[in-house]
Amino acid sequence: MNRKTIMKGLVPALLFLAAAGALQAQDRPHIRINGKYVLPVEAVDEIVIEEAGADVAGPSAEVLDFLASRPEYSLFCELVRLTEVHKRLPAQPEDFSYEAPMTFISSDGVNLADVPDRRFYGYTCFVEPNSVYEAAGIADVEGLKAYARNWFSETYANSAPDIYAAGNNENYLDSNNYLNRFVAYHFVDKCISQADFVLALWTYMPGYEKCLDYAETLAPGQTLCLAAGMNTFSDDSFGGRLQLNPSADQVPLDDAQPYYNWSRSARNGVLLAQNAQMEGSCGYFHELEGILAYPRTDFLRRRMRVDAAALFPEMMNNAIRYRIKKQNGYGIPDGYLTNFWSNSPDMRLLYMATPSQPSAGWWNDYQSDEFIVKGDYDFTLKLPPVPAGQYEVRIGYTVNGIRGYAQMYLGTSRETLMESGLPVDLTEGGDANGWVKDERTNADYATDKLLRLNGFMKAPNSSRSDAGYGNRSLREVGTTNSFPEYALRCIVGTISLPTDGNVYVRFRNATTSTTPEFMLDYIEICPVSIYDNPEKPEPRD
Amino acid sequence: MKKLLFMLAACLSLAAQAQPYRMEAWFSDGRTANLGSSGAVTRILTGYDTQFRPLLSLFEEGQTLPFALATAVDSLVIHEEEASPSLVAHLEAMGNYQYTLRLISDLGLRDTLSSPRRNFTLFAADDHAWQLFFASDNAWGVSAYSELSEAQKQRLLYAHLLGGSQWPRRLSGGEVGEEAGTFLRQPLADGAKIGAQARYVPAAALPSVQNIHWNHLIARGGAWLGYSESDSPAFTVVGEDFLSSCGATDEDRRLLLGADYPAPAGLYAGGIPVTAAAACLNGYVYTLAELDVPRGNMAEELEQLPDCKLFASFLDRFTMPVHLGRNEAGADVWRKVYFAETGSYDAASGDLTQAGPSGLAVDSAGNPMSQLPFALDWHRNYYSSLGWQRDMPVLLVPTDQALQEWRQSTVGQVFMSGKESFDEVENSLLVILLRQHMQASLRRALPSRLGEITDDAGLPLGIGADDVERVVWTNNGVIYVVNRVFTPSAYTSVTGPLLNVENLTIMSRALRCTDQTWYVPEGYGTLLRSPNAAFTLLFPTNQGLATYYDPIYPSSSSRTISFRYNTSSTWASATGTRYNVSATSMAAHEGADPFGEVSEAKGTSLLKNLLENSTIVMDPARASQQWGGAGGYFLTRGGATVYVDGFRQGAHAYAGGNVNPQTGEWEPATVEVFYNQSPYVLDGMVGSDGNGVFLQLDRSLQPTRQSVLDALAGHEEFSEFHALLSGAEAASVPFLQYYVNNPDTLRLYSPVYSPDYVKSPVVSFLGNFNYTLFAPTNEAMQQAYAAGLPRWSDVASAASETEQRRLCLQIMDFVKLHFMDHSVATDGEAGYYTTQAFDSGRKVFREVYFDPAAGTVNPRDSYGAVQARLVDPATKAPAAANLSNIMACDYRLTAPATDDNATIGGTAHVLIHAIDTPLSVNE
Repeated sequence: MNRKTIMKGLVPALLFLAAAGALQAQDRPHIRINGKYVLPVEAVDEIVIEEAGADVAGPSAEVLDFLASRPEYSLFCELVRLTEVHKRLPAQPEDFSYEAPMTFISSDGVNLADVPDRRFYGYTCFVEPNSVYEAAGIADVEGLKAYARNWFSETYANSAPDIYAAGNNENYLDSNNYLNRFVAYHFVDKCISQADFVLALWTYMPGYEKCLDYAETLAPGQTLCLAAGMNTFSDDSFGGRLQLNPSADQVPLDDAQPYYNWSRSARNGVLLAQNAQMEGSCGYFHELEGILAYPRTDFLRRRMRVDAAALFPEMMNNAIRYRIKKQNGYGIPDGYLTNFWSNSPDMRLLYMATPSQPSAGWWNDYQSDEFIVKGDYDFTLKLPPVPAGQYEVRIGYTVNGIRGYAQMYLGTSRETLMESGLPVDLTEGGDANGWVKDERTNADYATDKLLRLNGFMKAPNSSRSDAGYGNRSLREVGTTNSFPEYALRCIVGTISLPTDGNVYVRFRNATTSTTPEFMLDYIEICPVSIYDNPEKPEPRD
Repeated sequence: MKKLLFMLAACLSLAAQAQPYRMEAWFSDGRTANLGSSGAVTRILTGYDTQFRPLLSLFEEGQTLPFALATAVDSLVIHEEEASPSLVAHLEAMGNYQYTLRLISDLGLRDTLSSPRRNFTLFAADDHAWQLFFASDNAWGVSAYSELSEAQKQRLLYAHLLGGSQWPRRLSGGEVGEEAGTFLRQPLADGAKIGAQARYVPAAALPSVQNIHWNHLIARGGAWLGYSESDSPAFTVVGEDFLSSCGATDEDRRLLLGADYPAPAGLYAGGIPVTAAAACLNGYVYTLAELDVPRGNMAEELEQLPDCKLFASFLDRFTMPVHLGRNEAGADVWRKVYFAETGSYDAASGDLTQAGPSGLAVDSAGNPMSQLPFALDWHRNYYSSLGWQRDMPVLLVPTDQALQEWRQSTVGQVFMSGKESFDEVENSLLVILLRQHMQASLRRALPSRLGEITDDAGLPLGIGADDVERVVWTNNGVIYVVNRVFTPSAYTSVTGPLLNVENLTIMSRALRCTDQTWYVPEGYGTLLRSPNAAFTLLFPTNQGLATYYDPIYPSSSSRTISFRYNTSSTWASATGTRYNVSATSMAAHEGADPFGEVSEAKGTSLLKNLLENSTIVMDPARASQQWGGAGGYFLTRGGATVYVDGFRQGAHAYAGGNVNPQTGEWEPATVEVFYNQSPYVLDGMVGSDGNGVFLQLDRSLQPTRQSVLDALAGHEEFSEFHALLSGAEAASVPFLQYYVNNPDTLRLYSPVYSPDYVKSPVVSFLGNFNYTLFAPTNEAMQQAYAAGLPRWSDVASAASETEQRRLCLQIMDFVKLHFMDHSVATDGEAGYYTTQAFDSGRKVFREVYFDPAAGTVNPRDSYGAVQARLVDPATKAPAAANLSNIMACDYRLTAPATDDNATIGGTAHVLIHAIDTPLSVNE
């Protein structure tokens, strides 16, 4: 997708200015706006004013246009028309009110950082061809309705009767309606190419071929799991295929390092058709080889680890995530990111990603990128939705002396955020909280338990240290290593959701220092069935 | 109106035009807006929207045009007009500026302001405004032009004369760039002589309260106070551009400027509307709606407020006189300078500077002076990276009435701490209040944004526009006279008493200095700032810390430490006194065999341990009930369990070490004073609406000095279990002999071991946390042995090493099952808790269900449906005979225990309860 092509339609006539002289009134060029006024302007030949975006389609129009142009997607297209889900995507291709700040201080506090010039919108649509429906015995739209109705009933009728009651109707325009939910689950509001599925694979430990990412869809309370890598499949036969929603159930992965206790999915999800990516001017379409429907029970058993950059559509829509690598940080202006609210005027947000060829001593972060929030920080995040239930929320970070103390909050809305415990000392090393280097014996379980009792966890053993360069996992990063910083997860707290929805988390600088640095690397939302299971420990990957 | 996209190419070249333009925008509802005069450049402008936000930035010659949005206006008219040849010519042509012309002539500036060689910008009032001024009860008391002094004339002109040709847009920061539209201050013209005339201040009016620096002048009967000639205030001009740049609302304009609509020229000079603007060939003339008597700085204006004398006197405490020189009469002239973090007086340069204290600051008691966030007299004060032209400070000044009312409130009473008047309150306490009321940024403190201002704890200050009685503009800031006092959280929080109670200085300093770093300035105290938490602090007085039993010194040769408050060091100092446990009394050993000063590392380690184990983190949902109850056992932040028999004056508090080392009798601490810093009414006392209660103790909560083994050894009932824990070494198990000097391996097979830096053998599998030990009685152990639990003798006599290891692990499993994570007392919460016993098959730790109320302990899994019972389930105060809630701690140190530099590396606090049945029958 070439962003420049979008803007071609918007370039007005150029403004030419001649050398100025003392022009007579009748010779002066002029400006008319709405045909009503005359502005005599010196040394201007012509100015033309056009309505913005008049000839360029935004995501909402483009989606329907594309689907309508492809007969093989006619059934899905009809569903989109019926439900008008596409209208929940932006009408414009970009946010024209965005103005890049002229100055943005980088992470070093002295130099200027680059900032985005534009704020584009985007989308990704996962579409089933008619042939997939036919293979499932669905011949027409009525058949699809029945399918969706059945899925909705099985998913919500008993386990979430409030949601079922709200959606069990024939008002297809209602976002709670069963059909509308079914269709909306096929859309996310950010650009995800097939290449993006696998861009982070190199940051995982050798042998750990499992890359999972998450995206909030347009369906309320429904998240999509995007998976790449062999180990996201039930066996190795799928090679480099991509899929959606692999089963949350896992089977042990036979590997050369049994210590890691890695696993693979017990059952595959919905495969993406190979080489079937279609690109619009502001989004992508991916053809599926199966019918996509929200597997709610799976998400009740799934620990979601979400890289911070995946929380904000703008990071993908503006080609920042995975692509922009600035050692001093890439400035993210206030108000640029959806799902991020700054509550303090004295902070600045920077995106840090390591170069393509890192070396020893680079940062220890998940997927080799992180956000840092400098200054007197206070900000709120909206996390992807999860089913009703009890969850533990964690944040991944590395310890160093400039982190300060953070007061953390949890809630199901921005208005109901509650303090989650006392301020946490993010400068304190892991050993004060029980961190001991792995012995690769059962004794490591005692270390894990002690850390948890003190509110922390080691980082995952699936991710490589040193920004993907190192042979150690993030779990092993500690004082005995050459770059002495602990990679930890801080347990923010537990939250019970009475109904499917988003979790909101807030972090506030709890000291009077105005110069701390908060590291926002990744967030985990872990169901109680995993973190507090008396029958088996939580996986370490 | 439609939004239009207006895009312009880059790098345009324009020729300058000599003809100025005056631009107006006409709207369909009849409104017009004077967009000002253009000056000598070409402009493209499409108008303002309803918020008067410029739609297109005006550009200058050669500027790259920015991308911007436009809103259509109905009509835009540009008028060509002739510019006057000079400022003076313009004033003469207008005909009604005779006073101003006379002023210019009297000061010898007629030629200067007539010449085209230099450009100036003048803000002037017309004759009518002058006449109104003379007829009014003005601050100068002049009723005619002839009564104006030379200094007053200078101020009237120079304070309104800027350098350069400042068209409206330029006044507010120019047309392009990030600064465009964001300025509110401009420097006066070079050479402007605006220094205030020195005035004589009698001794009675000089600062004297809690301030020694003026004493020599007071002794002389008074002093001349003034400013240096180089002191040059800035000129404040608030434009619509500035208001837009900081998101000001119409209500902000009304409150700040007293205007419901923009001024005719879109500008306010020092709060006075500018009614017209005229371009001249050598500058600009702006007409003021009234004659502007130049304002003083914040300090000067504050002094003049009749109803804010108290606050002004508070600020005076943080001042000192600096000698400027002598006046024409030969009298010494002094300048009042402030102890401030910014705008302090720099003796080397003789000027105020942005950063740095003066270095002289000590108060009456010789303590380092506290500092204000900024000086009230500095004209270049600014906040962060915006620079002085784009922002200015705001003082929130409570009226005298508001302060007196606050003094009578609950929190005010805590602040006053029994003192009769504000004069008696120490500066170190007062400065916290002052800092809360000194806001560095007008942009952040616009009336509409007052709700965003946070207090010292980072929480909303709770101020709104309704709290502002009136606004007073000064030449270096804005004063909001408010009808409330905004109490710092430092006063209301649970640590509030530490600010103001003289004999709590050791704990006060410990709170601040422990774990203090650049990024954690409050140190350990950071935790206690959490506003919605519920803390109980049990802190000893300085006297209570005069006898402190060192918990990490080997028990066989114990030591007391005497802490004292040391003004010259950053932490409290301490000396150590070794005492002999065999002596018959403590008194005989006070001062005997002292071994000198305790190192700072050691002392702070012990104080940190004390802080953590004297802080109870309550459940906020239950705190009020617990505070009003009969007390009980509580877990501290450090992991130790303490017992209190009530939360009131006269109650008693016990920690594990509050035991007389000679007699073995419990010596609880007594609550001398109870401070209710909570939101509730407790013990008949209204709270300060803070986050906890503070119990001032006559002695410290002494950490327990007994290890787990020590505690078990102290009760015959546990002799069997003690033997099981400690018997590995004595049993001389063959394979374990190889690991005698390898503690890391030994600990896998022995429940206790002695790694480096412990004062006695410690439980080998505990970490830095708190635990409960369900210790089987001797009878219970017999049950266990009868069921197959091996003894160490069995291990030693086992035929093979494999069998020896197996039996070791069997013992270990048995022991570990009896250690439960979390210290839960007999009045604690029932629930499932993990133990130290590991299920190697499932890879999980085995759990028990402990029900303190029922006094039962039951393993969760199928390893044995055994139900054990507490032998001594009643909850009562600690006593030697108790078989529950026995407090122990295994310390891990950073050096040998006898080393004077040994500090605490980790603690495993254990609460011991006797049970009548072992928890497991081993397979």
